[in-house]
Amino acid sequence: MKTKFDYLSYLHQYEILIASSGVLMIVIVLTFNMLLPNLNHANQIYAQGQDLKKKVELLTQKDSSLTSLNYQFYKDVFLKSSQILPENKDYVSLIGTFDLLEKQSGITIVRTDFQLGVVSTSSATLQRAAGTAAFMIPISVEVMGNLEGLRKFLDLVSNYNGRLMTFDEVTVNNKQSDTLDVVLSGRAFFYILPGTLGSIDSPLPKLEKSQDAILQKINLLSLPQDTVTVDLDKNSIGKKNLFQ
Amino acid sequence: MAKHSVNLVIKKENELPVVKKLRLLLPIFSAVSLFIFVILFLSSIIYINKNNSEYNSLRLQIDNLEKRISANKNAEGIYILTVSRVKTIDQLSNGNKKFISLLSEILKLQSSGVLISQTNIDKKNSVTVSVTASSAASLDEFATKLLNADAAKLFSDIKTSGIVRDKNAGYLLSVSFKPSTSLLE
Repeated sequence: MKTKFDYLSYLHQYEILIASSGVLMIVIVLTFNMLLPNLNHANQIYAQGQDLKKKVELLTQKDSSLTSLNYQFYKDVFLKSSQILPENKDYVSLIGTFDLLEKQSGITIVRTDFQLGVVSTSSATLQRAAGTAAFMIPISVEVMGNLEGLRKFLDLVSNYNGRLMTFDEVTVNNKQSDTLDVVLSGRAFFYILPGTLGSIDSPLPKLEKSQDAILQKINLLSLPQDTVTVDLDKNSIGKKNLFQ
Repeated sequence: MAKHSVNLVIKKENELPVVKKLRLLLPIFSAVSLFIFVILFLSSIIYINKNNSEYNSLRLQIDNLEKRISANKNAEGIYILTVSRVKTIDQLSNGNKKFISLLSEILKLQSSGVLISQTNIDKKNSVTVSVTASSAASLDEFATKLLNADAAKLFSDIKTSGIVRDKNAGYLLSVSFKPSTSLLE
């Protein structure tokens, strides 16, 4: 009986301290179990909210760009540009380009020499053009003609008539006549297209003014022969119904 | 009848100063912490409720946009590949030299008595020409034309080497110079 009395008196004496400690303990437990997760969640909403807003803005911009994109135009330009910068060495198109240049410029191509190197896909033999992802094929062309013909030839080369070529060395032999014997040394190129398109929220690349001018120039070229599709509906294909 | 006295007042024991302090501070501290907890907890609930719907709608918007962009994957692919190829063509074209203005300027140096038999323009844009002059007067005329081109800043750093007089009283010489960059544009 005496012990119970002592216990109660003890409780009574320290009731404020015990109650306060109890409240404090509950606050600590609730803080860890409820407040901190809530604050964490709120912080996450705040931080991600900003990112999400930016992402929505970016995706909206990309979506509207893609919706207004002239698919057929870019598809045609893509096919046409493959004549200028193909995905492989494509020596057939190089020869074709020289034939075309000869025909259009009026000069005579005496000799062409291009180092195709190893025909297999040995990447060790490939050399990239400085500052670009394109690969180089060293070429040398010997042409004969007058200055006007040579001017036409070089103009045609720089106006994307056939394969893209650049010349950085020239030797002209002049044999007292109007005809010049010119050896041009330079490079033709091929470009392996990137295998991936990037993430869905990556912005669409934009063209600069000079690049847009090239795009319009390429668009004026005619489509490669092998990509011209035949409209099957216009061809007579016999009776549609066998019983008529 | 004898009276008994009972002492009901509990004897107050002397408390430690720490306990005295705690008796004063602990209730205040616990009340304040409870108050702060309640305020923060309510604020966090209000903030989450208010922003959660916006957050969810943003996520939904992103999902819809991503679906729409995925549906236009072909257009995106063809655009990116075309642009990347056009950019490469532009970069490669920038390295293209146009020799024609330079060549026509070099050929202008010729006259009835002067023939430029060979012209070489190398990768560093240095020009070397082999010249045949039929007489000293023709050679002088050629030199005057070179000086004029130098004065007009078309050519610079002009050097002549290996002047040979042949049996027909003609001259063979080699001239090297640097052309103006405007002639290669």
